[in-house]
Amino acid sequence: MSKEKFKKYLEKTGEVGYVIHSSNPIIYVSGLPSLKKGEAIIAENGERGVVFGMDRGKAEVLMFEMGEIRGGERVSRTNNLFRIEISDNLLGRIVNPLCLPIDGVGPVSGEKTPLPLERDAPGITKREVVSRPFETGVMIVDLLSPLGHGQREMVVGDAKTGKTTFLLQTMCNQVKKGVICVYVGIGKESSALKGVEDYLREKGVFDKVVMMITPSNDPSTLHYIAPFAGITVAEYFRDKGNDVFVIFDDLSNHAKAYREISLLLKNPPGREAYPGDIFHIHASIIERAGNVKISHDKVASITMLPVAETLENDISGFIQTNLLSMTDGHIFFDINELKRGRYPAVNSFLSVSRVGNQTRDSLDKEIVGKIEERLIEYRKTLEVAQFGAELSKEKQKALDFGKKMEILLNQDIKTIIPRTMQFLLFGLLFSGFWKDSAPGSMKKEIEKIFENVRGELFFEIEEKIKRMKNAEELKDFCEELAPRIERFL
Amino acid sequence: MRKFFITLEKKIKTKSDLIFYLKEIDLATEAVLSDVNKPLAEKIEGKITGELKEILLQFNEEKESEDVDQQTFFLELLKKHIFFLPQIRLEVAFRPDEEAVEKISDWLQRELEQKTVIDLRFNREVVGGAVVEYRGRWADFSLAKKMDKMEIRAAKQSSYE
Repeated sequence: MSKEKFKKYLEKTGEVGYVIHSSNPIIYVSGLPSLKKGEAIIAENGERGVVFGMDRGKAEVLMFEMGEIRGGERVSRTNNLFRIEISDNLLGRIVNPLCLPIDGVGPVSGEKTPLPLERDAPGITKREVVSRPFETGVMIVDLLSPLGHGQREMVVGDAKTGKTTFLLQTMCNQVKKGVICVYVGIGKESSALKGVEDYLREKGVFDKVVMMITPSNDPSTLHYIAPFAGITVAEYFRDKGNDVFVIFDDLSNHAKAYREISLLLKNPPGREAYPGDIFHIHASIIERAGNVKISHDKVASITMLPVAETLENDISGFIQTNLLSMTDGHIFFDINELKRGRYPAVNSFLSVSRVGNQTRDSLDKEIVGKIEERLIEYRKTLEVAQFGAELSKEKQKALDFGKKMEILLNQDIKTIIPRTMQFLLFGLLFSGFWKDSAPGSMKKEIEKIFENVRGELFFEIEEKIKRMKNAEELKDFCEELAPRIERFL
Repeated sequence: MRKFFITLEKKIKTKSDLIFYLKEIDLATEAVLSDVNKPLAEKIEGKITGELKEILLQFNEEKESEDVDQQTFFLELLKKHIFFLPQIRLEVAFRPDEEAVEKISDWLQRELEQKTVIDLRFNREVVGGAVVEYRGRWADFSLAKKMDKMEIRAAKQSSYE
């Protein structure tokens, strides 16, 4: 089958090349006089590759399999840019960056659209301002570093600080709102990727997610093309009128893979041995996200959360600062917060959302302003209290209030909190509902509220909150609702 | 020096000839470097074949010196020259004799206006004609391809009937 394909292209293009050198997964090919950069080639044994660069008399080709390509083997051009075939039936499937299924369920059915990996980002005239809120379902982010549809927000932090869990919670929340999700796992351990799959299946959202993975044992060429393939799949669904959410977990591994390829190609290394165009590579991927006009009256978005890993909280690393400069903000997962027992370990003071404010209404802004004010007061008081100084009654109240705010902001991995519940909880806190409660009992009460505020009651509260304009109205409403809530506890 | 290159080129028709002369040049280089005090003729006696030996001795005569550096430099240039001769790969269904190879080589030189080394491959499946590869271009002029096309046409016609 693969030999027939090779012969077909040989006859079609009338050109043949030979492998003159192979340093897996890169081969050098001679011949093929009309070869172009980015073109797909096919070897005699059926393996596919893409032309990465050209030098005197030879072309550098990235191959995608750790195959048995040997010196002297013949290769043929295909006369097409390297493309992946995308169909609607990719949803609910686990595929590799070539869009080939690896979940053992069989081939991807349905009509397929071949799309090239590298495409131009939408121009300025096609873009729309980020204005619709993008709920993650994680309270600390939704309140303090809010996101919008079409935003590119970097998720940064040390390993094992809860970044992937946060992303999964966000995915589950967004799928329930009808957003298509694309999870691109780059260079992760197979066990970690299996954990992602299990979480999504358990939450019942897997059928609306495209899981594109390339585990750590895959060739670096697959790691390299993974984000390009992921954003191409996202663009396919966006162009059909869907809002799409795409995650790159993580781009630090992608940068390492690109460094490996570049060094094998003997390109001059730059800072930290990364190739000189690493910024451009990442920018060209990130710029393809955004809020875009797909027709005269329809806007669709690709919201992107690229992940970057740090070492010992150092966000001033090369790749991290590159990504910081090309995204609309970042969410910082602080290992120190994790050590203090805060989960998710988001450091809201060091996190930024540059366009998040545009998505907020007046109620949001007021509530969040109050929360931030109290949090700052709490942190300052905490610093003073550490020295064992005696605190005034006011300071003690601030400390107590701050602790209760932290309890609200703490959220376990299985809980996803919609906007209505977030405001309800803070409204109850500000109205003094938990004034005399101990922290331990407060946690249990919160769980009971989650259990009981459902169905009609939830929709009733949601409708009321939607119409509110300021924090005073919310506080009054929560004071009125308090007796009903107490009945559940 | 060019005349020496052309003289050797004339001896090379096929890829096996090319490989043979490349090996010969390596042997000659080894011989030249073996004993710098002996004259060239003595050093290469019995080590290499007649054609290359003659070319080397003629070169030496013209230079009128036994400079080993010059001799090895000449051999290096000669090797490079024949190594980079363009090759044409012909896949045919028969094993041509020397005379046929000579005729094909001369014809190619006239048509392509340069010396080309023939890489002959035997493949029965070609049936007749040849599959040609030259400077990255590939073309199937085989009888097998024509027969396949005829078969497809006949099958299409019979399906219409």
